[in-house]
Amino acid sequence: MAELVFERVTKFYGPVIGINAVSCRLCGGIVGLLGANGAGKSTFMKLASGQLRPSLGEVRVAGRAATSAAARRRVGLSPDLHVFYEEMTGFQFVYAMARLHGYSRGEARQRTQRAIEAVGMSDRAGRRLAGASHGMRQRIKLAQAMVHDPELLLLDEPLSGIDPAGRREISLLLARWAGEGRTIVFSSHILAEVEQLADRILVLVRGRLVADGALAEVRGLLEDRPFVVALEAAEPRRLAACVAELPEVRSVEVQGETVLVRTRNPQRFFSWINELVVQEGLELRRMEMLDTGAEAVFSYLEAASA
Amino acid sequence: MRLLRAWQTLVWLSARRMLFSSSTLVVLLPVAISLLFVLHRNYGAWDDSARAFDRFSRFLVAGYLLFVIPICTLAYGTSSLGGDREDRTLLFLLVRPIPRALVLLGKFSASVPLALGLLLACFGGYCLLAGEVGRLAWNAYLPAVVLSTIAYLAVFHLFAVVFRHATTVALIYALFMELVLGHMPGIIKRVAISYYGRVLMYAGGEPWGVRAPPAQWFEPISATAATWALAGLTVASLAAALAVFQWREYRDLT
Amino acid sequence: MSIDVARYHGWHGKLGSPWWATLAMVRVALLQVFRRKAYWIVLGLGLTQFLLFWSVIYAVTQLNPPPQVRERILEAFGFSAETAAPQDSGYILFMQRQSLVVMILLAFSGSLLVGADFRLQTLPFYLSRRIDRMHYIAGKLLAVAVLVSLLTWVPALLLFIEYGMFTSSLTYWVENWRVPLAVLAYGLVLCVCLSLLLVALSAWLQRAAPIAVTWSSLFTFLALLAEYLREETGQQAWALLDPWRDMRYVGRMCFGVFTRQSQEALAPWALLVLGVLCGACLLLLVRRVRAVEVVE
Repeated sequence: MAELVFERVTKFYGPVIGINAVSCRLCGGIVGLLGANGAGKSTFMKLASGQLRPSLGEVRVAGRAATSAAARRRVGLSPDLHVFYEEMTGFQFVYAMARLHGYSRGEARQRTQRAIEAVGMSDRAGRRLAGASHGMRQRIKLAQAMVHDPELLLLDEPLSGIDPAGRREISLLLARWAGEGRTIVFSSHILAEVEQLADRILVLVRGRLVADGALAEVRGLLEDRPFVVALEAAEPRRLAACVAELPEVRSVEVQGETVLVRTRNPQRFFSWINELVVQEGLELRRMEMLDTGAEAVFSYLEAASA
Repeated sequence: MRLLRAWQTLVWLSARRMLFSSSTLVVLLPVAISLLFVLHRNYGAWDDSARAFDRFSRFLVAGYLLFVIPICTLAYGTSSLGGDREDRTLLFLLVRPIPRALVLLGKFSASVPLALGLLLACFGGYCLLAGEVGRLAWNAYLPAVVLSTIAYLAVFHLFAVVFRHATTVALIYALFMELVLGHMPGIIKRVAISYYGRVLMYAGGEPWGVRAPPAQWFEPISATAATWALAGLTVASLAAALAVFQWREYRDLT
Repeated sequence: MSIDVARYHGWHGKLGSPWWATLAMVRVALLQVFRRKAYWIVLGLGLTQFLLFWSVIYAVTQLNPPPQVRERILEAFGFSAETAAPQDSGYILFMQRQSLVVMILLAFSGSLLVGADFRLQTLPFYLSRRIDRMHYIAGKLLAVAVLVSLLTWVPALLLFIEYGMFTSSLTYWVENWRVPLAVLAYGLVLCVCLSLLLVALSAWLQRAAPIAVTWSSLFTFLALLAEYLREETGQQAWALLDPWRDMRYVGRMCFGVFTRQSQEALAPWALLVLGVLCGACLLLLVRRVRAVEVVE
């Protein structure tokens, strides 16, 4: 399993900082890279794929400098770029990329067929890329990235432009690849996708890595942002009065039949609320945590770093 | 072994893409025009063969060496790597496990047989159409053609590595530096590749009565020195291109 | 929420003619060109010729060199030593000497201003507005014509103004009143022919390298071969192969000054050649732009 290591990596573009003192160690699983436009996601991908050299620090893939040919052998990149050798067919393009890894004709052909099948392009691989749709291009990009069975896959916006059915297919594919022991790093603007796919997230804000870990862990570390729990009850005002007495509750707000509770410790809050409901004979219809999703986490982190 | 196979693929892929590109189609325009010119002049049928050789040589120096060679090499030299940069497909090569130096050498190796093949076919065509005079010219001018072609290709590859708009710079070089500076008095003309090519051509044609321009103006160097200069220019340009390409970051690719 | 509540409302103003859009295209084209350093280098090369002519005019009018020297300098730059005689050739010579710089500048501009629209498929951005393909073509032709003008007839007119201002009366301008008109007419010929040729070529070839190769083959290589053929065969008609020379002959027609009789005889033929060339380019261009489908 190839480990991707960033050690206090800083990248300057003249006077502008692309990413600033980023350190992380990625080994196995699916890692979602989150960040607004200009946050440094592309710079991260370019550094990891050896296209850029860090101004300070070090980027290593399986112990080798990411810019070295040995490291590139272990990396597959699907860039956020929609141009290919347009005169070729999808099959020819992926085959040419396989050959550029040094495989013999027969082996390259087999690998190309496998990669094309994996991304669900078998029936359309013979079409010229010049007339290919956005979704087909995305799939071909994925196929060329994994044609040499890389241990580390870097995918820049892999699901953009793909229809919902295709998204499901590719999500399953990524999960399968990760299950085979690969490390998959992908960037996306669609936070629901990150939430659904990633085992771990990296959040970049203005070039800095502000969070690294599983989504729930990251959420738990946001101490200044209490969790919001929505409770729907038949008697919201009585419920609010009872809940306000609990020790871990910061604030209570009644909105129609819904009571919004802000708490620092949701686990303990849930055990207490169960006891409370039984003791007071309250009718509780629904109980939901509102801001544990990637979107809320991302907006909290961004606001915190402002 | 795998690296060698990958490099061979790169050379083959680049050569095939260049051959079936619009560059090939458009370089055929000056080639066809010049072949029509030689066909029309029919140097082989002239009574005065010395005069025919002199006139044919004049055309080869001014038309072929100063225009057709730079323009054809420009088309292939700048588009071999510059085309990939312009289309941003260079990224797909740079993320493969081929060292960058080999990527550039592969591009150069792909463009040399293409440009040389086309230009030698064109030169052969002229010589064939010019009859006996052409046969003499082939023997006399072949080294100048080969060396100049390779030198131009190396320089244009350097441009493609260094400049984002390599075609623009190469055209300024081919039309301004080569034509204007190459014909200026004094040693400033030695910055032009065509100067060394002309020295070689005049030296090759001398036994058959081809006269170089007046020495006080042309200030010729020896044929050996010109050969070394062209070879040196090729090696130096390629070495500079390799050094730049090895360290250059192409941030505009994605 | 209704669209009114969202404060969206239709445009109630009066839209101008779509022909005004051509000016916007010219403005954008010039911004694109002048953003690049390479173009400033080429424009700098063009300026050296202007400064040379400017200095010559300054020297002969202000420094009072001996008459023989003055005469030789003026003749070398195509001007007549007699102030009363027509002094047109100098301006033709200046515009002709700008040809290399104009050619280089246009060779790059083609891909940037026109080729990119087709290669990157951005033409629908233009054609999905109120303008149609005629406005697009006119805008691009005008943009190229402005570039040609900046290097040819505009500096030539400046030289004419300079010449008159450095003499102590208005006599020069009064006696040579036809010169600016002729400069404008020659400038028009250059602008029309070069812009049509460049826009048509760029629309079909699109990329910088093929455009540059074709452009330089037309304007440098053909000129060279035409000169050889003219010299070797003694037939002046070969000169018509050279598009620059054709434009110059038509320019001389505008000035009414020919240095050789053969030029006068060939001038109408040159006009015919240019007419056919421009017609063919226009046809090619309309055909190329028509191929772009836009859903309105």
